[in-house]
Amino acid sequence: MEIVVSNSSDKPIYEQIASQLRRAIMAGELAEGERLPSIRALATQLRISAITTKRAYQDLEAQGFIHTVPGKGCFVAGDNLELLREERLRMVEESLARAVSDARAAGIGAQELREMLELQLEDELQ
Amino acid sequence: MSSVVPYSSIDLQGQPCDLRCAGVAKRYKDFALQAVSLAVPHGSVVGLIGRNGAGKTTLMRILLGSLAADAGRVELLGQDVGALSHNARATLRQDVAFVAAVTAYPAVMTVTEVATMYQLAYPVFGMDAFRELATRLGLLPDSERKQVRELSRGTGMKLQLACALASGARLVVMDEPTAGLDPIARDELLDVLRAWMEPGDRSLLISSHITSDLEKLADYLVVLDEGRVIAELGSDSVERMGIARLRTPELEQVLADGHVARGQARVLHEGLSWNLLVPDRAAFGRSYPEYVCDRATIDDCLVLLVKGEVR
Amino acid sequence: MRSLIYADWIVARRSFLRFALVSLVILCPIIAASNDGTSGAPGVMATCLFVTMLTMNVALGIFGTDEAGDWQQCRLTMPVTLHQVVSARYTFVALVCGATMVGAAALGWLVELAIPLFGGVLTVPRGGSEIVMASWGMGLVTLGYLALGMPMLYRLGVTKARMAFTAPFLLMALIALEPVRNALHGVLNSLEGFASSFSSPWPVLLVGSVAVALLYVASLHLSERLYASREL
Repeated sequence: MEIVVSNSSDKPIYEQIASQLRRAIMAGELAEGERLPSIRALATQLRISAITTKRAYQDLEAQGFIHTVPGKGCFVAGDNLELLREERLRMVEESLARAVSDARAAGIGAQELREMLELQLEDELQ
Repeated sequence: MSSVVPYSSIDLQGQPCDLRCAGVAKRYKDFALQAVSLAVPHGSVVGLIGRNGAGKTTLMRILLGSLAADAGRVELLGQDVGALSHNARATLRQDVAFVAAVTAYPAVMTVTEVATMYQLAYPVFGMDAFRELATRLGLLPDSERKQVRELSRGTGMKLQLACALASGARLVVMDEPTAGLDPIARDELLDVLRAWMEPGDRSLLISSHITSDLEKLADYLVVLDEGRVIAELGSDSVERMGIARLRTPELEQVLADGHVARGQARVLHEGLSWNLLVPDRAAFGRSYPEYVCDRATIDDCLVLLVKGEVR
Repeated sequence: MRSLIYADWIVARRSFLRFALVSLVILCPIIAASNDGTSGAPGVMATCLFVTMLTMNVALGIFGTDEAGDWQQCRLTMPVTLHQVVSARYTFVALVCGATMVGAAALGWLVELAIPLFGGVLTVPRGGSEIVMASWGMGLVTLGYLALGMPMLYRLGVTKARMAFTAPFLLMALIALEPVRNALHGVLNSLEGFASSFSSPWPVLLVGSVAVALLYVASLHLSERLYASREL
């Protein structure tokens, strides 16, 4: 498993880690039940503080992607189909949010944006 | 100037702490530590940041017990140091090791002799662990027979570090360990510290004015300025922070909107614009997409906390 | 406490040889001068001076190391109490004194053996027990002197106390002058006279030992108090 962390990204580091791990889980790179590195081991390998990796794992656990067994470690959770859909929904939401803010910055109005979206949808369906 | 109330984002009341101090005060002729309180939670790294002369070394010596405070309470590994007898205090200090800013062992002792001295002072000192750490840091075999006075600053610090980490201490306190080291040596040092922290049952209090080192290592940051704690931050909070660069009307609007809580905003006029410390730059970006908001480094935060105005 | 005694030992060991050689060099003219035929106790003289000079040099040396480069602050961050710091030093100094007493006695014998070989005249050969007594006695005097002086070192530090501490030793150099030497022999003779009024000098030495031991312990407690009152 390889993770890339950017210091200059807009996203906080714990979010970068969480989303990369999410992607790996959904793509099957991390198998169900597979043990993840401990919070500190991951912090050592990524050269960041333990509180950051702890936050990443906490977020992933809250979203149901991993679960922690006290004394043993963190493991990839099973049954990800529902999570898959939720994650995909999130990604689309993010793309839409970006499109909206880009449009606003470019001075494109809401009506014009809707028209652009319709056009896109028609293209896709064809 | 900085305000008296710390800008705080952590609450450690319930957590077990390996070091805790409250209300520590010490007055000198031209300098005073005032009402300093901080805590090092079990298994964490706390970075103490501050300018030279902010009081970091004085505070550390008080925490270790080699300097008496005028007031305040210090708790080491859960025990109130002030309530212990001298012998009990010395026994407690078997679980604590210190790395000073300047290597102060007797000048004629060799590296191996210093390690032997530690072995006699700390009951659970591991000579094997020492040799391993020293080899990893490059101290052995090159400097094995060198005397302390022949060691460079960096090598002396590595000796202190190897002794401290091999002593079996559960809490290590380090005063400016990376100052004067080249970037590669600093990197190695941080690696060694991270590896030492891995088992999770040890804590580290490390002071530095090189904040980029702490950024990569510390879980919590305590900012000391002119003898006071002016901020306590979790390093994950620092990652969320931003510096918004605003013209005056823009600043007034943001403050009027209440985006940052009243009395919590830190602003600094720099050049032709204002810098505003923003707790969550993602949220700021959503609320004010047309305003400039950069990622905040610890240095940015420090400057704003120390030199900024409170609004 | 063992770690502190070890540290003192390592520091002292490095300079031990140097001090011993310096002491011997200083002793040679003194011994030669004292063997002018009219009186003679070069062996005893050598013994006495060697004990004192060597112990003093070592003691001052290790106190000096305390202050060079913040070692005394550094050691307080180790798991030792102030009491242990002072006790370790006192123990080490006493051990050094004991060692020099033995070494000095051996040296005294050697001097007495050597002088006839170099054509010198040993007017009154002193022999073994005199040298042992001299060594023991001088050891007590040295420890007593240190017991009086160490609190000063702890209170003022070596740099300030050094002059006061070593002044009597600079005075020793005056031994090269004949009037001083005669006066000293006068004192030694009267001491001898006093000692011989006892059937044996050993009880004097024993009582003296107890007295010096008590003084030494009292000095330790005083030093601890004075050291604690300083802020390092």
